Parts: sequence; structure tokens; C-alpha cells
Amino acid sequence: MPSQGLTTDVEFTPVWLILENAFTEIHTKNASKLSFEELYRNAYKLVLKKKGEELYNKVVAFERAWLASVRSLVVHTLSAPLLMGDEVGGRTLATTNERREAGEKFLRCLKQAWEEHNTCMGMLTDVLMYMDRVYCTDHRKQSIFAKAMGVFRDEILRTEFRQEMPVLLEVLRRVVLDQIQMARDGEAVDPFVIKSNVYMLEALYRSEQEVEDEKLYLRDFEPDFLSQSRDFYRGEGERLLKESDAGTYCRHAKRRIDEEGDRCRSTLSETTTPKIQMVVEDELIRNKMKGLIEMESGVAFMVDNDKLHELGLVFELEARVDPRKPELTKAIQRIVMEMGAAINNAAIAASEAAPTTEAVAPAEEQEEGGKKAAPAKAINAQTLAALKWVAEILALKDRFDAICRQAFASDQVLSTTLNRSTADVINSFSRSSEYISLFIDDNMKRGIKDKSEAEVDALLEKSIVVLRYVADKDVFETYYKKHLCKRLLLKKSQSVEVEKLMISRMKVELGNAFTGKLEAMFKDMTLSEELSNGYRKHVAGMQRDDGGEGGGAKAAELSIKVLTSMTWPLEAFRSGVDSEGMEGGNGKGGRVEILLPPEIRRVKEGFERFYAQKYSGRRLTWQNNMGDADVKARFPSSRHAVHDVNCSTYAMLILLLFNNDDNARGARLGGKEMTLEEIEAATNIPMDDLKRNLQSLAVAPKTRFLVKEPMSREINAGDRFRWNEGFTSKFMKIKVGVVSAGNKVEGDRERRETEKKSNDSRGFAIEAAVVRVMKQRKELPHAQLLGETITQLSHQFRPDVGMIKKKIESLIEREYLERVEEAAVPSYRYLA
Amino acid sequence: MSGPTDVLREGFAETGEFSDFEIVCGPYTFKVHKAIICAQSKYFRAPCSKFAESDKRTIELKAIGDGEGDEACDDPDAIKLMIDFFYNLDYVAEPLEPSPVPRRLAATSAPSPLPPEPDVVPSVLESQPVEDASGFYVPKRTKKKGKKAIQAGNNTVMHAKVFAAAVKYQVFALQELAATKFASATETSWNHTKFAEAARIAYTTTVEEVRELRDAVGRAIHEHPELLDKLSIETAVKDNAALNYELLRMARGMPAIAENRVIDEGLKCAECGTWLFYEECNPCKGEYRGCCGTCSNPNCLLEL
Repeated sequence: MPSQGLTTDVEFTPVWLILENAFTEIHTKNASKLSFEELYRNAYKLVLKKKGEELYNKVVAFERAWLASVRSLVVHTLSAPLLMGDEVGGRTLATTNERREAGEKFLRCLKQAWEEHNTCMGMLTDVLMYMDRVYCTDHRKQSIFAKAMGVFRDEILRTEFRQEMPVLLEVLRRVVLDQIQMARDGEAVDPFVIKSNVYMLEALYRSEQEVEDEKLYLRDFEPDFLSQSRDFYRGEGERLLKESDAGTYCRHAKRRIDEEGDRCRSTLSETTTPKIQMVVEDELIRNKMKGLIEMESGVAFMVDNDKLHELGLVFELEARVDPRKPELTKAIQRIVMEMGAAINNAAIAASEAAPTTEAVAPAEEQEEGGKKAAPAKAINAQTLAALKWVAEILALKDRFDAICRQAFASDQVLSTTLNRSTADVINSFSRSSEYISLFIDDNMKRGIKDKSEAEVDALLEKSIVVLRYVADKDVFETYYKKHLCKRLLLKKSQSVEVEKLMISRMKVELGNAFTGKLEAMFKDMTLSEELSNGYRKHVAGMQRDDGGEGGGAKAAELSIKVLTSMTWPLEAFRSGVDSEGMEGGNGKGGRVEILLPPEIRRVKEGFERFYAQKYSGRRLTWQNNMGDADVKARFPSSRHAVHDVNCSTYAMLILLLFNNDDNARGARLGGKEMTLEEIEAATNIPMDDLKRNLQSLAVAPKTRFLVKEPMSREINAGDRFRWNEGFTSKFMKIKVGVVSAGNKVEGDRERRETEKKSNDSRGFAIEAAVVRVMKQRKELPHAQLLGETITQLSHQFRPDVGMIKKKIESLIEREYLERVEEAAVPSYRYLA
Repeated sequence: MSGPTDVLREGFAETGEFSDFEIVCGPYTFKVHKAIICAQSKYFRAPCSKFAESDKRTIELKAIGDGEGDEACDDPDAIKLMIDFFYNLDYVAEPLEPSPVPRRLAATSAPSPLPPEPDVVPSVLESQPVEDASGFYVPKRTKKKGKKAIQAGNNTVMHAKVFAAAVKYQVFALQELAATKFASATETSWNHTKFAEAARIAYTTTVEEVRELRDAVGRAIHEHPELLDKLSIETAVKDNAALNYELLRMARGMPAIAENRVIDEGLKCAECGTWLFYEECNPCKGEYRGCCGTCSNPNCLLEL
């Protein structure tokens, strides 16, 4: 630009020569000889005299020339192993050591060139401060420092130094990548010299604009680094999966991730850390997780061998890449389901084996001289299957809880998965409700004997834990009621306290509605106790009043349980054999009145009168089949004069038929003979019950009070019975076995019945829920009604959609609901 | 009134205690403190840490007349005031001798129409002590930034020199202060015979992009056209083309320099001859490298 109008014109060249000399001194590290004042003043002078642009261009040209000479120095350090690219096989030709040393030499030289350039440019910037401030700012030029950095990039890194050869930037990239690869292979490389070169790449930009993401490091190095790393780890991951076991793999992957993080800190740039970790995670974890988990030594193996630490590693790895941990979750779910299915199948197998044992048992009974242990064993085999099942389920749950706690850091997702899987296992087993109830039953009867409070508590807690998973709580309730009923009526329970404790636990867990009926059973028991006592006093009072009634004979004592009919599952006492027979007699009207001998009838009527006084308007239905009686019997040949015989009410009635002396209770029994049909006619006992009781009295060796003709196991029509005069026993007290006393797994028919019953009650529950929902909403689309109904019922059982539909149909028929014709989606309206 | 600056002055500047560097200029040697001078001036960081000066712990600022006498050298008195400023955050310039009585060459009988130079400007300052009886006082001016009163005196020449030193040595606070003082002094002392020299210094010691002094000079001449009758002013204006040009623009009612300069020369592609105006050079954002970047020259450096 023209520059006139200055008072004193300055000749550019002599001043520039002074500066140029000084710059050479600076670049050759002789700056301490130079007078800053003089240099600054000269540069200042040139700018003041409008020679700023010329000065600027001269400085740039000077740097360009200087750096060209530096470039040839750097190029000199390049040795053959570095110049031969991968294509030529440079890698394979030179040994690692040679390559590493050659690389380091090159990197050191470049680092030095860069650092010196920076130092020199710092000093030049000092000298040219005035130019920067006045000329560069006003003419929108880059500062001389930034410009010189660009010159370094162009002259050193981007200038072709030999034909057909990559520029130094390319060489640098290859060398650094090669060094990193060596580090990964375990060679000791110098991190500092690499880091210095990375600093350089981070300080240089692709163009003059110096846009942040245009840094050479980000554009010309990092992408290659990442893609090379990706290739490397992909290969390494695949190789490791083939060659090592899962535990080793996990440890290796974790080490690699940490290593790469450390490498970024020490050798590259922190900004790369997340990116390279992502790459390693992708290649070693995300893409390999499935393979890793399914390896022979994968998660299943670790679970089997309690390798908690390795499971922890797998968890840690996957948690890194995905908070949902899909692969591990899937694997754990699958393993739990498999192990659960094994437990379920074992239980099914055991229960299927059981009926055969049962069939064999009576035969054994005869052969072995009628040992009562045999049927008990058979029953136990069933119960044992249930106990085993519950114990195994608990063990399964405990095991995985421990894994979850110790290896998975009690992770939310995995705990949920475990819970869901456990629930699935339990609910996929059709007898789970029954088995849990049996488990509790067995413990109430036997298990809690001699156990400390804490142990009992733990036992109850276990039951609740399993119970929590059961979806069909109503089915469980049915079974529990049945079992509880037997325990209470037959006084099998070890401790009523514990029973009540259990109920209160269930109350906490499942709610009032669930335990209401169970509690009512306990209430009935207490009331009955009071009632029996009251009646006893009443009778005693009456006898005192008109003493000697009934010829001075002592009236039979009565202990009675009055049971609310809806609360108690009395059908529990009918075994599978006679259930069909009972169905007919179940209805109150159709029931055949049992014929009682007068002395017993008197007691019964006496109690009925007493009860009617206390509670007018209530009707008592006698469940003779459930009672038992104590009678005194005399056998001439036995060494005891009188035996106390405890037997069922039916057995007592049968025995009384053979009583010779009506007046003397417990006196000699006569020698009269009766056929089966005659006994039935005399007592009205249902045939099945009759046969069963006769089996006890005439077949079982220890209690063979009667002799049967012909002698055989089975009771058949036309069999004749008579008094067994020759009965002996060394025991004074004899208990006649009650065939139906023991608890056992249901037979198929029983099960069908239970199912039917629970289906019926579910039907009512569904109808009630539908009506409740509709009453509130008045009008509702079908899908929504389904949803709300299911939600309402979910704490009791999992309602079947088909059943809900049927119930809706039936409600429409009965005009509780109607279809809304004009609605877009199928909807219903509530009819008040 | 013992503020931090008093402590600085009394504790260090006057005693030279703990001094770790020397600044020499002409007859003066200043014992200074690196911490203080480097905080004020970016310039001094380099000699305090590098180059020969850092070894000798001394920097010699070439004074005018030391052999290389030209505008790039310094007036030792201006440097002294700059050092004062480092420790006081202010400086006081010696007042000038009163002008000789001006005289008209074209001897018409009429007496000088020029207004007499005011002997004494009535002081409106709040009874500040007057140090020198012969001094001129500038009335307190409320600066736009609401700063405290500036004691400027009439020494426009010295203010211009201090300003030049401040720009050269990158003491930005001093640059602003000196410019303000110069403007104040100009307003009262434009009629002083030394004003011509002040104008010359203003137009030669700083580049045209540094506007503060130039604007003050231009405004004074524009507002007082009678100055152009003065021989001293005539010489000064004639000697400086930039001043010439700016006065011309102002006379035409234009701002002293163009806000939007029209570029009509210089940027022509060396290869294809396309005119490429500075502002239009998009790809390089003002980095003209001799080629338009759109021609087919393979060596074209512009990145598109």
C-alpha cells in the first residue's frame, strides 16, 4: 500500500536485516545476547512507518524457510522400518524392537522441533508485540504466533518430502498408532514423547480459522486411532472367546478398558477417553456379551460352580454398557427357569410315583402282619414330595438372592428379574399352592416340635416368602383352609399359638379379606370349647335334678364342635373314594339320617335342646362321619378286663350293633352274626364309609374286633360279620385307625373337584368385580372393563380372560349390563 | 490520605527498596520492581525474563538524540512520567512557558484579532493546592465516564509524548489517561504556540488507527479556524499529509476517517487477474494470498 505523508521515511531493508539476524539467533538459542529493547524498537519503527504488512510477510517467509530446514532434520530421523508402510510389510520386516526405537527417535525429534518452534515463536511474539497489536488487529490478520503455527503445520507436517512418500503427518499417525499397538502387546513405550506429539496435534488446526473441532488431533488422528482400536479389539475379543474361559475374558476386558483409560491420560488426550472406552466396550462387551454369557464357561457354569466373583465381573461389564443389562438378565432368567423347571418336574415325578406306592401299601399291610407304618409311609411319600419341593424352591431363591447380593450389587433390574422368574417357576407348577399349604401343614403337625421360637419364626417366614410369589392366592386359601380344618378338628396341630402367628403373618402379607375365614375357624373352635363346657355343666345339673333318669345309667359324654357351615371346608374329610357318594348326600334335604341307638340319640337330642335354648333359630347339621368316640369293651380272652377303644363315630355305631347287653355298657359283646347289608340297614351309614370302617374293625390285625366271613381284604356284598371273641391285645387303650385321617396330596378326582370349586368361586369374584366396576363407571369400553377387572382381582388370582368374557355375557343375560349399540368400540352400560 | 498508591510511592518508588530491575533512559535511571511494571505493561515481561536485558537486570530505552534519534526513540521525561504512573496511577506534566506574543506579518494597522492567551484560568477546582504559581489550571471537567477530576495542565506536548510511550509500551491505563489529559489540555491551550508541536507528535508517534490524539487535534483546528493563520500550525499541517487529509474531510463535514472505506485497489489475483476485494475474500476471511482461489492454478493456496 502506498505510504506517504510520514515526516521521516524509513528504509525497510536495513531494519529488517537487524531483525532477521536476531531471529536467526533466537532460533539457534542465542537469544540471551540480544537486546530486546533494540529489537522491539526496530519492529515498532517499521509498524509505525506503515511497514507492518511487509514486516509480517517477511517474518512468515523467514519461518517458512527456517522450518523447511527443520523438516529435513526430522526427515533424517526416519529410518527404513518407518518409511515402509503397512502395505510394503514394514511391520513384518523389522523386529518390534527396531520399530519401537526408530519410532521413538522420530517422535523425539518431532517433539523437539515443535517445542523449539513454540519457544522461538514466543520470543518473536514478544518482539513483534506492537505489530500484533496494531497491524494484525486492525488488518484482521492472524496473530504472528497463530500464523507461525500454521506454517509449522504446512511446512513440517504437510509438505511432501520425497516423492511417493506419505507426508510427515501421515508418518506421525502411523508411528503413534504403531507405538500404541506395541504398548497393547506389552512392550514398554515412552508415553511422554507420544503425549508431546499429541499436544502438538491438539494445538494445530486444519485451517486458519482455528475452529475447535478442526484440530489436527480430532480430525487427522483420533478417527484412525479409534478405527484401528476397533479392529484390534474385535479380533482380540473373538480370539479370547475361543481360547479362554469366561472368567478370564471378563478380567481381561476390564483390564483393557482401564488400560485404555490410563493410556488416554498418560499418552494421548483425556478427550478421547470416553470415545475409546466406548470402542472397547462395543467390541469386548456389547457385541460379545451374548457369546460370553452362552460360553461353556459362561454364566450358567459360574452359577453352577458358585463363581460369584466372576459373575460379579460379568455384571460389572454389562452394567457398563447398558443399565438394563439385557443379556445377563436374560441368562439369569433362563437359568432360574431351567433350575425351577427341574425342581417342578422332580416334584411331578415324585407325585406320580406316589399313587403306585399307595396301591401297594394295603397289600403290604396284610403281608407284614398289618403294620400301620406302611400307609403312613405312603402318605408321607406324597407329603415329602411337597416338602422337598418347597425346600428346593427356597434353596433356589436363597441361592440366587445370594448371587444377586454378592455378585450383582443387589441390582434393581436383576432383583426384579429374579423375583419375576421365581414367581414364574412357582406359578408354572400347578400344585404350588397345594404344596405350600402342605409344607405349612407338615410343619404345624411335626416340624415345629422342639423348635425354638426363632427357628419357628424362620420357618413361618420361609412359608410367607414362597407364598408371596403365588399368583392364585385363592387356590392356596382353599387348600390352607382344608388343611387347617383337619388340623383343628383332629387336634393335630402342635401349637395353636403358632397357627395364630401364621395367620397374622398372612394377614400382613395378603390382607384381611384373605384371612377372614381362617380367623373365623379359630373363633368357632373357641366357641365350641365354651359350648361343650356349658353343656357338660348343664347335663350335670340335670342329672342332679332328676337323678337316676335312664335307669341310673350314666349318659354318654359329649364333646362337640359347632362349625359355621360356610367357613369350614368339610368336604375335606371325604376321601376321593367316597366323594361321589357324598355328592348325593351333600344336600341337606337329601341327607340320609343316620340311625343312632337310643343312648346316643338321647345325648344328641339333649344337646340340640340345649343349643336351641342358647341360639334360637339355628339349625344343626350333624357330621357323624367326622366324629370319634371312646367306648369300653370287654374281651374274654384278652388279659385286660376292659379295653378303652377310641374309634370313629361310625365304628362305634357298628360295634354297638354287636353289643349283647343293652344295659351294661362295655359288657360282653354277643356272638350274633350280621351281613353287610344288615349292618347298613341298621345304621344307615353310607356304604363307602361303612366299608372303610368295617375294614378297620375286621381286617386291620390290631383292631380286629369283628370276624369277617369269608376272610379277605375287600369288603364285599354278602360278607358276614360276627364278634371276635378271641381278640387279645397287650394294650389297654386301643385306637382304631381312621383311614381318612392323614393329609396327603389330592388324587386326580379330588383335584378336579378343587379346581371346579375354585373356578366357581372365581366366577363369583369376577362377577362381583365386574358389577363393582360398572356400577361406578356406568359405561365402559370392553377393553377397559377387562383391565379394571383384572387389576381388582390381581391380589386374589390371575383371572382368565375367557372366563371374564363369559361372566360378562351372563351378566348381560341377567340384565345387569347391556351392550351400547351406538358406541365406536364395544362397550357396556350398567343397568341399575 | 494514605492509600495504596501512597504506600507504593513512599515505600518503593522513592527509596528503590527491593528493586529488582532498572530502566535507563537518557539521564535517568529508575530502580523499579518487576512485579509492578510487568503488571502494568506487557512490554516489560520479555526483558524481565528473556533476552540480554534479563541477565543484566537493566533495560536501556533509547532516548531521542542518543544517536538513533527518531520517532521510535523516547523522550526521557515522558518515560519518567510513565514510571511515575506505574507507582502513582497518575502523573503531572510540567507546565509550559507562556507563548511569545503573536504577531501578524501582514501589517494592517489593526491589532491582533487573536484572543490573548489566558493568563490564568479562574480555578473552579475545589481549592486544590496550586503547586506552581505560573501554572495553568484546567477547570474540572466531568468526563463521560464520571471519573475523578483530571489535572491536565497546558502541556499538550508532554501529554502527547506520554501517550506515545503508553502505546509503544502497551500501558493501556496510561494510554487512556494521557489521551484524556491531552484532550483537556487542548481545550484550554489550543492557542499556545506549542500546540503545533503537539499536533506534529500526535500525527507521527502513533499509527492512524490510534485515534485519540489525532481526533483532539483535528477537532481543535476545526473549531478554531484562526489557528490556520498561525505559521507554526501552517508548517505542521503542510508537513503531515494525514493531518491534511483529515482536515479536508472535516472541512467537508465528513468524519476524520471513513467509516466504510471503499477499497478500490490492490487485491487482484496474481494468476487469473480477477479483482478480489478485501471484504469479499470469503474463504480465507481476509487472508489475501495472491490468488483468488477460483482459478485453475494448481498452486492456489486458498482453501475453498
